[in-house]
Amino acid sequence: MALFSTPRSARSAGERSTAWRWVLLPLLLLGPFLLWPVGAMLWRGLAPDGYFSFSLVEAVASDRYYWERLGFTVGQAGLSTALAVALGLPAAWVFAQVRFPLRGLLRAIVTVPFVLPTIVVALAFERLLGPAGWLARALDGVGVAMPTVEGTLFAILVAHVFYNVAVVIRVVGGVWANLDPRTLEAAQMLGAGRLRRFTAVTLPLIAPAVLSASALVFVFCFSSFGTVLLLGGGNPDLDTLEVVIYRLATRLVDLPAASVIAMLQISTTVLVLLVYARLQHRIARPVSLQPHRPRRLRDLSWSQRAFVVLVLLVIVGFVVTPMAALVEGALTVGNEGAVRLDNFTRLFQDTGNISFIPPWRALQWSVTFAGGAMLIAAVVGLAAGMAVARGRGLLATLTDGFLMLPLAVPAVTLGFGYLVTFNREPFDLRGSPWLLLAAHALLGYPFVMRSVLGPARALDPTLVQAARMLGASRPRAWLRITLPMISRGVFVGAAFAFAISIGEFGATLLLQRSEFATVPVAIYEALGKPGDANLGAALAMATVLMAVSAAAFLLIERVRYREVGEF
Amino acid sequence: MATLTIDGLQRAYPRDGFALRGVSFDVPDGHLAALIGPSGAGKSSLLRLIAGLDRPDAGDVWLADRNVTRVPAHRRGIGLMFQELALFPHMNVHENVAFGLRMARWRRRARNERVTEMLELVGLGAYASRSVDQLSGGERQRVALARVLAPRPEVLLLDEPLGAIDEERKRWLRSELRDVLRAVGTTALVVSHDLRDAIAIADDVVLMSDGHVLQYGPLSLVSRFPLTAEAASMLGYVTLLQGEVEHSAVRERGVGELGIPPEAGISGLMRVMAHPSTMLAVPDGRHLGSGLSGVVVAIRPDGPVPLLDIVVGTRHLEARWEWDLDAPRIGTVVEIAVRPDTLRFYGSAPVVVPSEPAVESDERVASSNEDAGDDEDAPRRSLFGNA
Repeated sequence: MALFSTPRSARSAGERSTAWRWVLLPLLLLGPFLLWPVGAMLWRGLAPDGYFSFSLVEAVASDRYYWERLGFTVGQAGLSTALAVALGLPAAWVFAQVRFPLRGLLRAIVTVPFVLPTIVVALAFERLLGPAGWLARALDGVGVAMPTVEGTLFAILVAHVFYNVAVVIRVVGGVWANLDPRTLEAAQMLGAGRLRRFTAVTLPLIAPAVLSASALVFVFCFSSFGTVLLLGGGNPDLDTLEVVIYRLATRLVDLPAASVIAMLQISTTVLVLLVYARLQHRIARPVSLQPHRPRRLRDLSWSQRAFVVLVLLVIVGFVVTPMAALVEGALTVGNEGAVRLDNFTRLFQDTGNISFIPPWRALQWSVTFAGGAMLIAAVVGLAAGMAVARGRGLLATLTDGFLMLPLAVPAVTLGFGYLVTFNREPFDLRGSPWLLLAAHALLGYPFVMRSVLGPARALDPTLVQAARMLGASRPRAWLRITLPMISRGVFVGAAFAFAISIGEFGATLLLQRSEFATVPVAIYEALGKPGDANLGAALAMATVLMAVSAAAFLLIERVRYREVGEF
Repeated sequence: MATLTIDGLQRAYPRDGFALRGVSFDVPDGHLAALIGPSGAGKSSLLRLIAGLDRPDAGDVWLADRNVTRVPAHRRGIGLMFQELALFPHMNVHENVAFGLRMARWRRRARNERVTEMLELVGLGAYASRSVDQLSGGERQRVALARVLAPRPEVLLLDEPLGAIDEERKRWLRSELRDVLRAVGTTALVVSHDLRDAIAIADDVVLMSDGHVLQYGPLSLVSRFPLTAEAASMLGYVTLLQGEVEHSAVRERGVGELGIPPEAGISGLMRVMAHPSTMLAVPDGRHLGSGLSGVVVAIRPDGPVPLLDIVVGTRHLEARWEWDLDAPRIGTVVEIAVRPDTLRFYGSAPVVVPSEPAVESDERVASSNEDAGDDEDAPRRSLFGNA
């Protein structure tokens, strides 16, 4: 996910030999909790009767339904990506190239959605576009009937664009801000006007970043689950493959077919992520050592200024409105329109409803899982980052790709893999919170790895050599020199892992039990029940979740420094 | 090709606490001028104003009789080679060089011919399809040169073209750069912080310091007759003495005295400067020197004859010892001999050079300070008679 522009510095031969040791720790997590379950699941699809046969694949391939779902999944992902890029590019330019008041704050706000839990986003849009939402009420006020949005492709697209526009702004904006302004000036001196400079220089230079962001957004939307489940309104025409897997696995119990779909799912994401990795290498490295200052608003022409204001209004409005609608709902639902904190205070009271997951317990479990997953992810991600940073050449690239595999396995698919693997003694872990913890740690550590990789690669090897010459042993030199210098990367990555875990929905929904349900699951459960009390509880929980994720993100923003890269 | 005229350019850079204060000079058609000054003098800032990448607060830039001050950079017909080169990282060598031609809508055939011609000129004929990040520093430099030359700009600006090159290769690249620029024949302004670059390649020199031009003109004239003490020290002159003129000698307490020719007609507080190339250390007491003597404190071998560090009263000087192949011992008193007609005198009073100023009528010498109103410096212009 990260966009790193650090050159590989020369490493001494002595250091290279330690790279493989660092891989051992990630392997401990990857082996049993990714390779085995995913492998077992794929084997189930390829060998339904215990021996290798394409019969099941053929059976699924001959079913038009699955082809339709594949077509729809790819189509909506492509459309979402195109829209996110269309909205994100101008915003990326504004944030990368122009200085204006509150720039840092607005940039943080606009990119917050990236870490927001899908269920929160879905609920926020429900409050904005749903039958009782802001838009419906506003249209009602002027006497226009609100068209049904719930259960339409439109709702899903809007939500997808909402939290993926941040990816475009971050990835493209990062590269755009690092473009050497002299390159453009050189083009101007050679006779290129504004338009030619953009088409002949800027565009080719940011194109890899745009494509790379697009690949990432595509993968996210391709494996979209929570958004579709909630905003799809149960419309089967809107099911993505991920939802299909969920339905097959939970309702129809057609596990072998689910395995085949999972195979299709994983091979697609792996393919797109490979494209992404290739593009990452082509992203232009900044050559200028002088940091380039964005232009001031008053140095722009009037039309440019108008454009900046327009882009900011649209993007900030687009991001803030759903979040505001969510908070407003949490404060008013069930209160006869009055603004009260009842929904929040009720979270901490025992309702006595046995079928209901007590919100405060869900909150406890969420924090427990997130804290535990964060710790594991920090340690494993640190080791993974060291392994890749210390390695060299093709082997390092392959290791990098291998260690990033968790990102290529969609969450529901992973959860499904666990269900079909850890169901027999001595590994019957069904209903165990440990399995959930492992899944969360697995989904979180690539972020730590990415955050560590930048500073670890940028680390001057002579520093460690100097420490060695001053009498430090190899472990001591690592502890006293290397670790302090990459600790900020660990910290940033860990905060990401925390945010990922606290909002994780897909795998959690499959692996949870009501004894240890997390907040996203509790929200989903509450939404499935009638009455304003349940809706109010869901909204209040979603608001709390949003606040926690946003807080984690703002923490990341504060700590992040240039070398940590962009997510 | 055209004469480049800079007329009273001003620009304040409040953030850096720096300003260009009324810079004026010109580079005649087809001349190769070097813009020399210490870092921070404003050379690169000035270049950006001339190129049109920044707007001046006041003043004009002329190409021949065309005022281009309000013309955007890409329509000025000026080529700029950046110090950082700024090669396009997403294009190969050929595409980089062809870029300007493409912008000028050259036909493909003519474009390819021109690119080949330019690459041959800089000695990179076989590199057309190389990616620019496969090149060495010197090769990148040459690609940048070919790129800036290709569209035949009327005026060429080169910002530290030899900046990132190591000393050894620099000497060779200097003459190569000179040959290329001569072959093209374009009016060119080359920025450097190193006087040797100017000596190696330029016809004219512009001396710049702290946001203004100290002096400009033909290198042969400027280096012989610097107008101010600051210009002189930029050109390598060192101070021998600074003191009052009494009885046809300049006297500085604690240092010594130096006889001056009576026809010099100078008086008051004077600073006497000389170029090390015209100074020699000679044995004391033989009346061979200038009358200035000091103690040898260090001997530095430099080729067959040594360099001596000499303490003259409170001043340190350096002079070659060619009297004998054996250096004098440390602690020996030596006298400093200077060609009298190369001594330069600077003071607050009007001065004239001690010898006949060899000012050719077609060479212009002037100071840029005319507009800056630097009254203290103004009288010194009479150094050159009425230039």
